[in-house]
This record gives sequence, C-alpha cells and structure tokens, in this order.
Amino acid sequence: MMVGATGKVSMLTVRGLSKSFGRPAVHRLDLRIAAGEIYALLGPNGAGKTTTLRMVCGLLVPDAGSIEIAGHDALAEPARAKQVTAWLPDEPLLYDRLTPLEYLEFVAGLWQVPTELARTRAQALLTELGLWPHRGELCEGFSRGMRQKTALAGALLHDPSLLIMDEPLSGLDAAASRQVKDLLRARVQTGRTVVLTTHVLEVAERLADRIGIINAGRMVAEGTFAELRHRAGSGQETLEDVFLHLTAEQPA
Amino acid sequence: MSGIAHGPAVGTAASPGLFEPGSTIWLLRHDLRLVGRDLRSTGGRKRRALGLVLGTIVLVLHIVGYAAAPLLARVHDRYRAEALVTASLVIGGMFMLFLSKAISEATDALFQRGDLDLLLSSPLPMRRVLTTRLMAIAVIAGFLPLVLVIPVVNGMLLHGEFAWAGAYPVLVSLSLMAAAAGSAMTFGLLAWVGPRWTRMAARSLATLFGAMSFFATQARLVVPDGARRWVWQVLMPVAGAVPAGPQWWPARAVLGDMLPMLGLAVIAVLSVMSVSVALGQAYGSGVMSNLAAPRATRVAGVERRFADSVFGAIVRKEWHLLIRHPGIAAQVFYQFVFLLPGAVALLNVGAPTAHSAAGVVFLTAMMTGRITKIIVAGPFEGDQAAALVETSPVAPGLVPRAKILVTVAALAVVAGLPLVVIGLKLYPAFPAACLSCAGAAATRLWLAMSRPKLLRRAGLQGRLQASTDGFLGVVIDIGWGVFGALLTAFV
Repeated sequence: MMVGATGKVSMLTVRGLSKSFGRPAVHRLDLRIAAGEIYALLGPNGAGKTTTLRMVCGLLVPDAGSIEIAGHDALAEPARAKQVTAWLPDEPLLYDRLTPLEYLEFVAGLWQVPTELARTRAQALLTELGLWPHRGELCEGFSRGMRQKTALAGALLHDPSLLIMDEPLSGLDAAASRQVKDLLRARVQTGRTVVLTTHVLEVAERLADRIGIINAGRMVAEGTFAELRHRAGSGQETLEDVFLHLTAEQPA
Repeated sequence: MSGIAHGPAVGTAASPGLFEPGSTIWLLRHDLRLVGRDLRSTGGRKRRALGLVLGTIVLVLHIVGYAAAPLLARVHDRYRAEALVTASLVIGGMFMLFLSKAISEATDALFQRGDLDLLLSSPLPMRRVLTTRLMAIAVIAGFLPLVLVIPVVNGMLLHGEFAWAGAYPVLVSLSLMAAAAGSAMTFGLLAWVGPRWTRMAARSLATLFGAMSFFATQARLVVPDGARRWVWQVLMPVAGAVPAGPQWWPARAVLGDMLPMLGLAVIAVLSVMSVSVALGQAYGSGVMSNLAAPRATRVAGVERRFADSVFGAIVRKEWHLLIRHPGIAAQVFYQFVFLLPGAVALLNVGAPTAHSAAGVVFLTAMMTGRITKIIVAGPFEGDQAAALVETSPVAPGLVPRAKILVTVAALAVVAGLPLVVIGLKLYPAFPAACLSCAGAAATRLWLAMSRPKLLRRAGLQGRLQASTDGFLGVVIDIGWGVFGALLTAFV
C-alpha cells in the first residue's frame, strides 16, 4: 500500500483518470486520499464528481488512468478492490418487496460476510440508525430518509475500508443527518476512509478533513479548508466563498 | 461506530459453494423471491381470482390437449419425414416466441432493474450476475409457451405416448438458448445504436420475432400457395435424406430421440456460458458506461428554439415529447405487424369481395383506435409537468388544442398509410374506412381527454378506472370496426 507525502497510508490513489461521453467528463484527474480521513469532493453540477466516484467503484470503465484502492489495482483486480469498498449512490435502490433485514441479508451474501458476523452487524447497524423497530416492514412504505439509512446500513455491513457516498445527506432530516455524520466520524476514527460529494458546503466544511474542488472534470484545488481559504485569498471566509471564487477562476 | 463489530469481515474472492451466498443459484433464488413477493403483493381476493382464472385455463388446455392427443399419436412413426418437418416448423415458430420474450426481458433487465449499482459494485464476478439474469430471462421467456404446450404434451403422455416427454427438456433448452441469443442481441444493439435507440430497436425486434411466431400459425393464409409448396418440396427430401443433421435435433428430441435431446441440452448450456463469458465484462462496464452517457439530441441554434406564439411553443414541446417517447414507436410498429398481415391475408383469399373489403376495413379501424390509444399516451397521459402548464397564465383551452393537433398530425402520418392503400386497392371501401377510422380515433381521443387525471391516479380506484377504460377502449375499437365493416358490406 502506498504511503503519501504526509506519511499516512494511502487508501485511494487515482492517477490521470479520464472519461469522456462525447465530451470530456473527467480529465486527467489525480487524487490521493489517506486512510482514516473524510474527503469531500465538491464541484458545480456536471463537474464530474459522480462520474469520478462511479469509476472508482467499478461502475464505469475509465478511458485512461489508474485507480488503486487499499493497494489493489481496481482495474486489474476489481473483485479485490470492491471487497473493501462500498458505494452509496444519491438515490439508492432498495428492493421494495424486501424488509431491511432481508436487504442486509442479501448484501451480506454479495460480500460474503460470515453469517454470525453479518447478523451481529445488521442488528447493530439497524439499531444505531433507528431502523430496528422497522426491520420486518417492507421497504416500499419507507420515507426517503429511512430508505437512505437502510442503504447506508447495507453499505456499512461488510465494514468497508473505503466508503464512497454520493450526496449522502440529501433527503435526511436534521436528526438523521446528525446521526449519519456521527457515524461517519466514528468510522474514520477506526481508520476507515470516507469519500463523499455534497452540494451542502457547510457539511463539507464541518465534516471533511480535506476537500477537493473539481470543475469541468479537472481538479481546481485541494487541501484542508484552511489551505483552500488561504489559496483563495483574503475576503473568502466561508467554504461557499472559497468554492465560488475557485470555480469562477476556471472556465467550465 | 459503537457496537458494530469490525475486523477481517468479508469473505474471499474464492467461488462459493453451489447454494452458498454469492453463488449463481443463490442469486437466482433472490430474483425469484422478488418475483414471488411481487405476486404476493397483489390483494388477496384479486390473487385468488387470478389463481382461479389461471387454474381454469390450465385445466381447459389439458382437456383440449387430451382430446387432441390422438391426432398426433404415432404420427412420427407413420410419417417420419412429414412429422420432422412439421415439428421443426412448429418448434421454429415457438423459438421465435421465446426469443421475442427474451429480448423484451433483456431490455427490461438493462433499463428497468435499478439494482445494477448494488450488484456491480459488489465483488461478485460480472459473469455470475449475468448468468443469473440469463437464467431468470429463460424462466420468464419459457413460461407462456410452456403453459400452451405442456397440456398437449401431457395429453400425449396420458395416452401412453411416453416418447413425448422429450418435449420438457427441449423446451427448457430452447428457453435457455433464446435467453442467450436475446440477451446477446440486446447488448449488441446497446453497443451499436446506444441506449436511446436500444429500447425502441429491441422492442421492435421483439415484436418482429413475436409476429414471425404468429405468422407461423397463420402460414396457410399469409404465405401464398406456391411459396408454401416450394418450402415443403425443399424440406421434405432433406428431412428424409439427412435425418441426423442438427437442424432436425429439436424435432427429433421432441419425438423422443435421446441423443439429439442431450445435444440440445449441451448447446443450451454452452450458449448461456459463452454469452456469460463473452458479455460478462461488457455487462459490468460497457453497459453501465452506455447507460450513464448523457442523451444528446441534435443541437439547433437558439434562434430556432423559441416559438413566436404560446400555441407554437406548446405544440413544439408536445411534438418533441411525442417523437422522443421511448416506447411509442415500437408499440405502433407492434400494431402494424400484428394487424396488417390479417388484412393482407383477407385480400389473398380469392378475388376482393365486399366481405373481404369489410374485413380489411374492420381491421384498419381497430388498428387506428389502438394506435390512437398509444399516441395519446404521450401528450395526454404521460405529461410529467402538467402542473407547470396548469399554473401558467396560458388560456385553459390552448393546451388541449395543441395536444389534439399534435396527436392528429402524428396519427395522420402513421395511420394514414393504410387508408391510402385502401383508397388505391379497394376504393369503394375508402369512405367507410375513413369514417370508421376517424370515429375510432376521435372516440379514443375523447376518452383520453376526459380521463387523464384518473389514469394517473395511483391506488386501487385508479387501477380499476384504468381497467374499465382499457375495456371501454377495446369495445370502442371493435364497435367502430364493426360499423365500418357493415357500412362496407351493405352500403
């Protein structure tokens, strides 16, 4: 596994990643995210955030570049890379005709989590996310927040080293949002890594250890909030100011 | 994360056991569980009624099969070559039906299954995911033909013709082969024409194969005598001279030969495996890339984008939505494919008479009604932003007028063609055809305009209303067809 300049072990390393859908969506993107950090990938609509994450998760094949997850080449050994990764899309699918417990049972099967461990984790996750009383109900009647939390439980069931989330807090009320943020913080304290996209810049400002801003498929700026603020210059107090300043610098 | 066990939790990438989580059978069981839950979600009374109807149909088909069985008994002993040719043609027709359903299901698997993200982000090999999908497609593709054929086979078995038991493995093999071929075709289309056109092209292809299957049953009427005699004369000597050829395996297997039966089973398994291996990676990468690609339409300058009038703007929007609707073209094609050959067959039966013209007018009016129903689904039933127009300051009557204009224009393009043919070939029937087609279209349009909100409503009442309207629509089409036919025959 690669060790970065900061001395931390790199959980995700992306080099020269490119993807085009007729026009370039992601262009020669480099990323290095250390184990045990929360990394927020920000950018305007259509900047290439979701495309980048989908390539990392193996849902899209890049046109060029390399992806390394926990030391595994994700393009050459996708199964090994996926084994330690979880993907939570912005609108996660749940099977309407399954209960949360049955859904987790299926997910455990996909990742081949040992039965006893899967049971323990499923109960703990559903309890922690407030879904245990609903474990026997079909998901078809769930609110958007409950669906999001069930999908999150599924994503965490195999205890992934790298959790990749696209807009994880959309649709959640304040309490559920806090619950999820606490859960993510707890995960990184145990050495797990979280990569997320969000349009709520306040979330990124408060939650993320490092922030990457991409625009038109290219990395515009990267660093801690303090570093980005420093780079943006005086007068840029909030992440929103910094974000607007940096993305305005680059033609979309 | 408090209370949640960490550690080296996940399994290895090694292949799981046959029935263990992560295996092909385990995945298939998951798919079947979802199908079962879907069925069970139907209300208790409705489910019982459905079961009763299905049970009655199966029973009636078995009685018919038992009665018809003596006609088929020992036919293969007495007329070996004829039996082989006939059975081959019937099986060929059935395979088209399998293929048609398989293509439809493969298209649904690509566009309507929302769990691809979950499955493809898991460490399961794509090959295994695709194999499961193929098996599920085979089960669904084979269901209807099995329901129709098994009663006849069972009838033969009850009459002591045990060799016909070979039909069971043959049907299973054919459904697996159709699943593999149908999926390969659908994926090929996706790679070739892209996601936007794949749905329409695949549905049209499915319709075409379904129609070929249907024509096989109507060959006596649709295919001219000379052509039928030629096919028979070509096939008969071949069947007699080379009975061992693989083209006769399905027929020979149905008639009880063991070796062809095994040969077919091997081919079926190999076709599923080879498609899984060849397309497994594409399923996980190319497919997702294609589906993720943004849909591009022809770019016109901004000066061509804004109409001068409100009416023009609404007409333009309705027209764009109509021609870009993913399902309408394929459904219209479906109507043409299934109803026009009937009209052609009527014209082929001797010289055109008032009665054959009446039949043609009946079918054309029916088809116009059905095509109207399909086309109005775009502007009237499928308006995703109805609230936008309702909350705008546009005069209330303007929007329906624009929708009617677009519908009638599309209808004139599509349904006008058969009328032109009638005008040229059966001109005495032309006025009656125009009148009945216009009546069918106008009544269908009125029905759609008077019920758009009810059709959109979810829940039992909405579904009941939709069923009632569906039934009413069929009655309207038949009514105008009968009216046109009577007018042609007697006036």
